[in-house]
Amino acid sequence: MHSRLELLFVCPDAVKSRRLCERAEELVKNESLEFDRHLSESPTARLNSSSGRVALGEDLFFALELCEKFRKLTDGYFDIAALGSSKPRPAYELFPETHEAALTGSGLLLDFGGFAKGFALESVRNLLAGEGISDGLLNFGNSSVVGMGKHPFGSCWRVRSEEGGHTFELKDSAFSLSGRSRSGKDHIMDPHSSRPAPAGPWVAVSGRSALLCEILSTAVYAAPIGERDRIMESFEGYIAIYGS
Amino acid sequence: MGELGAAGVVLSALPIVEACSSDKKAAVTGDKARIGLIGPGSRGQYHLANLQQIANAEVVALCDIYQPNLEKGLELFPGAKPYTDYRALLEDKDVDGVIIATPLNEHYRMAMDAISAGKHVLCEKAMAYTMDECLDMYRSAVAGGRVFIIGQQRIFDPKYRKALDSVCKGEYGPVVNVRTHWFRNNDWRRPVPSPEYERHVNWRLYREYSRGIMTELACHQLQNGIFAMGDLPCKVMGSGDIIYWKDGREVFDSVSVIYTFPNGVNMTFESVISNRYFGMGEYIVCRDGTVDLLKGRYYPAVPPKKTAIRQLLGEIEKGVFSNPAFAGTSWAPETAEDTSGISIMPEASGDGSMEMMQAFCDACISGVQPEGVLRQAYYGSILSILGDEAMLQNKILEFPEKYRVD
Repeated sequence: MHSRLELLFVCPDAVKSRRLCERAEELVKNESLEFDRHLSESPTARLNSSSGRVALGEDLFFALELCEKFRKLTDGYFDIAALGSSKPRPAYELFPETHEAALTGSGLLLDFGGFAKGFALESVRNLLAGEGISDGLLNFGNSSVVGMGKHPFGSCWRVRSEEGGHTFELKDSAFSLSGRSRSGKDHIMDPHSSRPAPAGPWVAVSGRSALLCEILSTAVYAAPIGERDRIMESFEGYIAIYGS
Repeated sequence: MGELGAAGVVLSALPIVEACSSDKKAAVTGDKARIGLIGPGSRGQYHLANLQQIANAEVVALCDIYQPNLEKGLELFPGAKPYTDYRALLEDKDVDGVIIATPLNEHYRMAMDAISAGKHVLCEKAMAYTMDECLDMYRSAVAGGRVFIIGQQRIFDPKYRKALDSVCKGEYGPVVNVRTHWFRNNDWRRPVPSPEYERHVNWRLYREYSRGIMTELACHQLQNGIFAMGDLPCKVMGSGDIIYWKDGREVFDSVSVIYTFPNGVNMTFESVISNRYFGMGEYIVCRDGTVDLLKGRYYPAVPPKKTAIRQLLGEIEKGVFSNPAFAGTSWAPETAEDTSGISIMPEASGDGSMEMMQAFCDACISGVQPEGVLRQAYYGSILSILGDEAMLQNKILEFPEKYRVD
């Protein structure tokens, strides 16, 4: 996923902490091997390069189901096929009986850039919560952050944006921030125009699920200003913050 | 070049400082190394203080011609037998191992006599005053079959060993430079009770006894350099003078020396004792990063970004509920100019002196010479003397092949 994952959680047992970190690392690495289209052996890369059906693992198949569902719920502004040169939508067909998928046309390219970090953060949060960890801060590349429980000396976790100084207060919640890359490159595409989204510096979405925050921040950033509120209205408990 | 290559293989082997294998340690449990120390001056007293903390050490004899130092040594080990003639101490059958902590010019004679007396020896650095003496001592020690250690403690320091081991394995890329220095700001004098003791007490300042900075300081750092390079320099040049402490001393108080290895890599040693700003530094400069041996830290050429979570963790440890600013679009690697580096061995402390003394005591009991240690120290001493000669002769000197040992 080409980003750094950092975990800070409260656990008095050092051995258990180390073991949990190792498990989280393995979990995320495995997911990365599934979702990374740049790895030639990954199922995603095989799907992108195949004109027929490709057998998928459980996680990737589930992810494709979710992606299509949220593409529809965001009026097409969240679209993992936005980078491709071809427009057929849905961009892929799923075959639940065989856990297979196939692209629906040529020139399509699936990219989980606006999805995978949120998906991985949810996996790690579930892992930690299942092991009794209630307080922690999970940071994936500074753009996707989960606050579990609260800071040892506060009532929540607080994180400020580097630009604009907005403070996110996280308590069993997350935020995701989308925008121009630090090099200034516009890397989020408007799926409808197939051009880089002409939005401002950044958009953040805060709410319960790290995955949904990432999906929505990507969609809202890609959407025209007039469409944003309407997209957000469909997702109760999630708010968008716009950088200036 | 063939010889140099062969030497490289030898030098790159990590000296083994464990004098006892675990089974041999078990066999000697309960035994004590019976130590006699010659020269309980400042360094000698430091060794005695360490020996007080070593369970299998028993100091049975002390020797000094300078009564105040002998008395200080006896305060630390009241039961030790006092001597004023080191040869009498060497004849003492109750002494297994001898520590020689006397002025440099005495090392050769005393160490050779100790070898002849069949004693195990720990001789302070530098090994001897001349290269011929060093070579003779080395060969005699090897032929004598007893334990012989030179007091270059860094090779016993766990963090040095770990760092140098990583360097030798190429984990930081090839070595491109070795940079060492030792800056102090004092006259290096010890108080003397009356003028007739001046040269005996302040022996480090006079050429009759010592080569000053090179043999008292540089030999440590040069040893690390050849360890890291896995080879010996082929030439040395330098400049030295008495620039500040013009108090009758005869040894340089300012030196800058460059040793060049066959592959062109330079190792520098600089020392001034009239300014301490730069302090002591021992750096192995590799292509991918720099190892600070003294601090036991590694500084990658491209340091990892100091992450917000690390900052947050530090604040939590101070009990602060902070609001760190790190949220932004996805992280990208950056090059930081200012970095605290990466600790190579956080748990290590000390400078290896205690480990060295423990290894000597173990070796006195087991009779097993720690492998490779003597050869490393020998070359450290040879290079310190060669550097001094280059400055005295104002010449670029080649490494004399006659001083290369197996």
